[in-house]
Parts: sequence; structure tokens; C-alpha cells
Amino acid sequence: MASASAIFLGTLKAMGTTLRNAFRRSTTLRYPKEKRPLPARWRGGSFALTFDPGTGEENCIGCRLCEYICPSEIIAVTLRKGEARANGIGATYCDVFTLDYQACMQCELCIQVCPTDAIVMTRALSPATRTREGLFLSKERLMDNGRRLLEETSLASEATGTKLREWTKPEGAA
Amino acid sequence: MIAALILSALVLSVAMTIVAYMTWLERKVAARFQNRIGPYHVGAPHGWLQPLADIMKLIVKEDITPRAADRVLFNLGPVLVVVPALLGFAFIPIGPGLAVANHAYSFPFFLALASLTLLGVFAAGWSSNNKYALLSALRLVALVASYEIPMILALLVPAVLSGSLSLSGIVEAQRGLWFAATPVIGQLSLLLFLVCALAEGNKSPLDLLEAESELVAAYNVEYSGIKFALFYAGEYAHTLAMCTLAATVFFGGYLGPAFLPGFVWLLLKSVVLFVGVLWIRWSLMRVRIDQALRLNWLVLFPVALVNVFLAAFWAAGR
Repeated sequence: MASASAIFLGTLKAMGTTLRNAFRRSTTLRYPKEKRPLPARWRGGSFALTFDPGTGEENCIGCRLCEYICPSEIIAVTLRKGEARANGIGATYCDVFTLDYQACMQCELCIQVCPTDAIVMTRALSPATRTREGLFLSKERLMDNGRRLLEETSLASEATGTKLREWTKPEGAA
Repeated sequence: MIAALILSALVLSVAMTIVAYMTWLERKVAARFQNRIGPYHVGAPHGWLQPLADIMKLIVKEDITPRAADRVLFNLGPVLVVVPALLGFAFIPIGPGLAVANHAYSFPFFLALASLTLLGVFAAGWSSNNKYALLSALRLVALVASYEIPMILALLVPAVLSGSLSLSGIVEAQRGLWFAATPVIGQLSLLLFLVCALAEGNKSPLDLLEAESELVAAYNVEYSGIKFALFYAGEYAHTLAMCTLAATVFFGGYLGPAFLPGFVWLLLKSVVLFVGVLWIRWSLMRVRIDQALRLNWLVLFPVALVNVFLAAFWAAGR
């Protein structure tokens, strides 16, 4: 009989919980019309390669750190030596820079290691496409995204390599 | 004759429409309990055309009969589920002395018809030639056959209190006071009936026959298209029949203040009871089969027996 009363009381308790939830505001957003505000460090978007807005020089120095750290092994970079840049970040460039977005898991490691803040993530919802090629980011597409970041600054994620290293630096470290 | 035909067609179409809209109501209420919106985009205010869209979709879908199935029983199953569940509405009085089949023993007839859906479900589970469907149907038979006993004992109470076996007589006996308001006996039998109706109508927490993790879906795994829709409609029709029965024998059926016609009162009471069933359904998780049967034989059955005795003493002492 003790178990019967426990069942009865438990039932009432459960029904109280559902009743309380019935009068809460709905958390559903009607997606295409309503959108959730994206956080400042949103990682779900696409990628971009940045360049110096003054001189138009690309920031990537082809060091391949992002290629080495990428857990999904989707980044491929080849190095090209060229003329020294006016802003003094070196004389090496990336020749080929590809990122296969299909397998990206948004871990942000490539951005954390980038010494020149060349690769960044954009604060837009993930681009959905119908083809595999649509998710394959060549250097041209990444540079296009970089140009869009200059036009629409709200699209840029707050996280860049320099900032991420600053934020995660242990206290008292040089 | 013509009047009876028109009345039965009316009752049938109203019942079918309500059954279709019960699916919409269930999704809406469930969504509310889970802080969601539910169907929204089909039909301007809150997706009110969703049932229609669902029916259209299910009609258009491919109708598959498995090669190894027993064809006759397989096709008979859905019909055997829907027809008895809808036939029950013929006995429900929708006004003073007004029912499609006004019979002196309409109460036992109604209960017999409500139990017949079991046959259709078992036919479906057996003829599908699928081990999950068969196990699910067997579970249902074990559960429903046991819950039938306390349910009928609980429903004996209104019959004893009113001294009548016709649903019209039971409603008329509630002119003074609803049987749900009879001290202790009324509330106890209502509670017993609601628990048993959950088991009979395969509603959570006693919807053991559709334990997805054990039985894939239910006895209707092999069904698709319109036949699946018939099972779905049959289940909701059965639940609606149970809610209408509870409204009739415990809450005074068509009785109510005169500013609304009798059948509207009956409808309102049934829908309120259905929302109550949904409330229970979306609050509790499914129990195990042994827990369900223990609850039935060790708690509900003795309590129902004692309750019938109390009701008999109450009726004799009046």
C-alpha cells in the first residue's frame, strides 16, 4: 500500500511539473522569420582569409600551422616565396589554400595557432548547399569571404589568433 | 427511419472530425507542456489544417502488404479497430432520450463494443508475421484483458447508483447530482476508470504495446499509408469513446445549463477529459509490464471490488 501512495504522490508531482511548464513562454523560434542572436565568438559560420586593408596584402604566410593542427585534416597549404611585404610580416605566401568544410568540426584550433591572424571564422549561419563542391573552400572563396568581412564588420568573429592567445595566457606568463 | 439515418450520419461525421482534431489538440497540448509551439505552418491560426494535411499525406503514401502476411486478416485488422470504436458512439445519448440506438441495455453494449477493438489489434499483430508486432499484440491482450475487470467494476458503480443499465437512464439519474460528486464512491470509481481507460486506450504511462526500444513501434509496424491512418484514427476514436463515456456516466452527459444545447455540453466535457488524459500522458513515463499488471491485480482490482460493495450499500440505504 505504501508503494501505491508513492505512485499516487509521484503522479501528482509529475503533473505539477508539466502544468508549470505549460504556462512558460515557448522557446521555439519560427526560424526563417525569427533568428537567435549569434554570440560574438560564434564558430558555426564559414571561414575567411584576411588581408591588410591598407595595402591589400594577404596576411597568410603559408606557415602550414593550421594544416598540421587540424584534427580533421581538411586544410591543405603550399608555400610560395615572394617579395617581402611592406608591413614586415615576412616574404612567404600561401600558394594553394584549401579547406574542405564538409568535415570541419568547428574546433577553432586553426584560428588559435595562426600567427598572423590570417584565418578567421565568420559570424554567419553555416552556408547550406546542395553539392559537395559548395562546401569546398578554395583560396579564392576564402579571400572573397575576407573581402566581405571588410564590408560587413558585424560578420567578423571576435576571435582571432592573437586575441585567443591573449585570453588563454596563464596569469604571470611572459 | 430516415431521421435515424441522418442522425447516425451526423454523429459519425462529427465523431470523425473530432477524432481528426484530437491529433492536432494532442500535438498542441504536448508542445505546450514541453515549451514548444507544435503544428504551426499549415493553416493560418496555429496550423489548424494540419489534420487534413496528415490525412492527405497518409492517403497518398504507398500501401504495402508484406508477402509473408496473412492477407485477409492483415486487411481486416484496421477495420476491426475503427468500426467498433465508432459504433460505440451510437449508444451515447446526445440529448434527453436522443441517441442513434436508444436501448435499455446500451451500457453493456457500449462496453462490449469498446472491448472488440482488441480483436482488431490482435489480428493485426498476428497477421503481420513480424515478431515485434506479435509481441506487442500479446502484451496488449494481457494488459487490456486484465484492466477490463477493474474498469467494468468501476463502471458498475454508476449503474448501481442509478439502478439502470441504459446510458440515458444513467444520465437522467444525475439530474440532481453528478455521480462524480457522490462522496468517496464517485471519485474512487472515476479514478479507477481513468486509470483503466489509459490502459484500454493505450495511452502513456500504460502504453506498453508501443515501447519503441523493445518493440520497434507497436503492433502496426508493418502497416503504412491509409491502413496505418485507420489504426491511428481507431486509437483516438477509442480514447474519445472512453472520454465521452466518462462524461456520460460520471459528469452528467448532456446535462448542463440551458444556454448551450445538450450535445455541446457533452462535447465540452469529453474534450476537457481528453485534455486531462493528455496531461497525464505527457507527465508520466511508461511503466514495465510487471508493474502494470501488479498495479492492476493488487491495487485496482481489490479497491474496485470494495467500491462496488460500498456503492451497493449506499444505493440500498437511500
